[in-house]
Amino acid sequence: MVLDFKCPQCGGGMEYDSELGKLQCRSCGFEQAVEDAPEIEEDDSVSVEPFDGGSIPDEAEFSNETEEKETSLYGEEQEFFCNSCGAAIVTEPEVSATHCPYCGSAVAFGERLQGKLAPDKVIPFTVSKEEAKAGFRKWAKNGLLTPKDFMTEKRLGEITGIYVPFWLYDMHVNAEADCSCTKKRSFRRGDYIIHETKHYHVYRRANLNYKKVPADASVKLDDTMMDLLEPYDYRRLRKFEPGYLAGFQAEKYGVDADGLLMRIKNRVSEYAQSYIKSTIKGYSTTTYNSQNIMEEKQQEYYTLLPVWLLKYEYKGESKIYAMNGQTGKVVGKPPISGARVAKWISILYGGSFAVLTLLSYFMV
Amino acid sequence: MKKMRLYRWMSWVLAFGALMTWIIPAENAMAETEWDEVVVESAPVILTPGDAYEEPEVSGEETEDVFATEHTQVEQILEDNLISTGITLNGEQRLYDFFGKFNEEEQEEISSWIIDREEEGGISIRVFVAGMAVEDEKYFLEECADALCDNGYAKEDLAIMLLNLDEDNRGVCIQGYGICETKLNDDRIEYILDDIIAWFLEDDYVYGVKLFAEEAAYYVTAEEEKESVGSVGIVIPADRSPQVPYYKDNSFKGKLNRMPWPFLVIAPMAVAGLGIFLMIQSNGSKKTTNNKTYMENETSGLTAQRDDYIRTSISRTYSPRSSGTSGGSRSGGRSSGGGGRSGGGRSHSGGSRRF
Repeated sequence: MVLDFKCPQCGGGMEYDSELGKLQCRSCGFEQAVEDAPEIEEDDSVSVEPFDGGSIPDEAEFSNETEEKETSLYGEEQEFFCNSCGAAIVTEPEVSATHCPYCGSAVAFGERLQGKLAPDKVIPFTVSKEEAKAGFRKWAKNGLLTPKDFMTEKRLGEITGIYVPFWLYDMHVNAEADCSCTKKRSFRRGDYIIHETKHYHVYRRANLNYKKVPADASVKLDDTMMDLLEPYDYRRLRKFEPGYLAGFQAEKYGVDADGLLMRIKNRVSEYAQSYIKSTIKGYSTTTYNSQNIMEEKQQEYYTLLPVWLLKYEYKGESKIYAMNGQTGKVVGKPPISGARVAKWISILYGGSFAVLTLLSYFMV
Repeated sequence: MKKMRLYRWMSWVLAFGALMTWIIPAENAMAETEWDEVVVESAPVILTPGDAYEEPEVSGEETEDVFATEHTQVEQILEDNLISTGITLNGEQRLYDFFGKFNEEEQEEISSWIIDREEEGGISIRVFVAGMAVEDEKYFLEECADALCDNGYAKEDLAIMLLNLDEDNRGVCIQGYGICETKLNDDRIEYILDDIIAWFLEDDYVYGVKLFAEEAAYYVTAEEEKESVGSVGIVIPADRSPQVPYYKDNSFKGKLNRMPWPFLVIAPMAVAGLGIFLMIQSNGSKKTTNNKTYMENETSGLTAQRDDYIRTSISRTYSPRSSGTSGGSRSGGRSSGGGGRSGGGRSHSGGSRRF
């Protein structure tokens, strides 16, 4: 089922406006609350238990030497039909919202947003496309070694707003550490230096709760890059409504909640270790005799988080830059300009040479 | 990517250069530190009434006895030398050759040389040539200094040298009084000894003695503009380059040259390398979350903790305090001698060496 966002007044396409926090018609400017946008209808198809293949015997036999069908990188592409113009929209299987390539209408695919794939929560875009472009430009400009022609207006046109699927986990951690610590001091007594070492047996037990620790569930996007986009401000977390997707791309999760749990457990385990360490203060040395950390998942939320993505070709190299669609934080490594490196080397060299020469002059 | 790798390599190389640059001056700085110590320690000591220096309390009898034992012998040596050679201490003579080492011509050459150097340095320079036991040298010179200064034969700013030519105790002893105590401190006396000993070993005693006078005057005037010394074949050895921190060259060029030029060239390179290295490292994005970002403070915290004291272990290492100095001179650190105080109460620097 294809959802589209039609203006109830003129029938034109509507898109989510990050400044208004509402849907707005591109033609007549009519504004509509996100909650009033079309909702996904319940799937009325018959629900069946899958066959147990092992219990059904083969009724025919075929050769294995069949031609392999060409598939896309992430699975088979699927075809939908645009409600506005009737054109066929071919999408990759993880895409849950996009634009019709023919009429430009915002569309969402109901099958990929319902049942197990229905997001619990969403953080709407607060950084508009123009603000995102300005943000990328400012970021490139602030880079001391970034080339001048990097992030030109023309290339910034290819910026895409995308709702990236994340799992947010509430985790409970019980951490326990048993350590041997020492306090050392030295002082002089006559002709001797006395080294005093006080030995302590130290124990810490902590009960820690971590709320909504995110892990990106997209198979396409780089995990490290997505981690660097954090943190998101959860005060803007909303109940999911399809209307938030109007005008943006969206993906459904490629890895389920259990598939990412180990990653989150490792992350909170590191957090807990560092918390315990921060409570052992005032000692010269600390040796851990034992340390037990038990992580337990309390709850998970399937959430869509806003990201501005920019695929950028610079001197033959293709790179992806991302911006947190809520805070504006930019992630990615900008290219380095040889001319700017040379400029900075001469400035630093010349400057420090002048300072040292002056110091030399005034040296006592 | 290749470019990035190249830049990273460049920055590593420059950073290595930086490290080396800081290590090399750090080694040189050790010599400077020693010099600083010398300057501080040889500076006049200001005493407040509360911590006034107290002479050790000893009975009058004992003092007399000790003084008598130590100094009468030395006085005797001086007296014996004066009597046996018929030489008298006076305001004219610069070289007192009790050993008969130098002929008249040589004596004249040395004396006139010393007189010129005295004028240059504004100090008195005296050289004694005699033979005696090593342990008597220091006291002998102190006795000579007292005798010369008490009678007005020499200025209180006195650089004095003993050339001991006793067959079994050949050596040189130098002392500095008055302004020479700081200008010609123990370190500088060591430098002078380094230079002159070589000439005595070559049996060129005239040159050795003249070099002593030359270098004594040189160090005393070291703060004045002076780039090289020696006019009649006596030169300060080549390693006395301007960066060695025991004298200052106050000319414009000299001021600029106070830092060694390799340092001036390499250090900025290192700064530039470090700067670029840091810029490349910080190029890109940083993590802005930590272990507290997602922690719910109200429901998180320690539920139990113990810090039980077990025991104390103590070890000690022997490290004797450096002995205090008296008379404002540095003592210790030299096997060859050091400063002290003469019987007449004159504080001095000093150093000696055998050859």
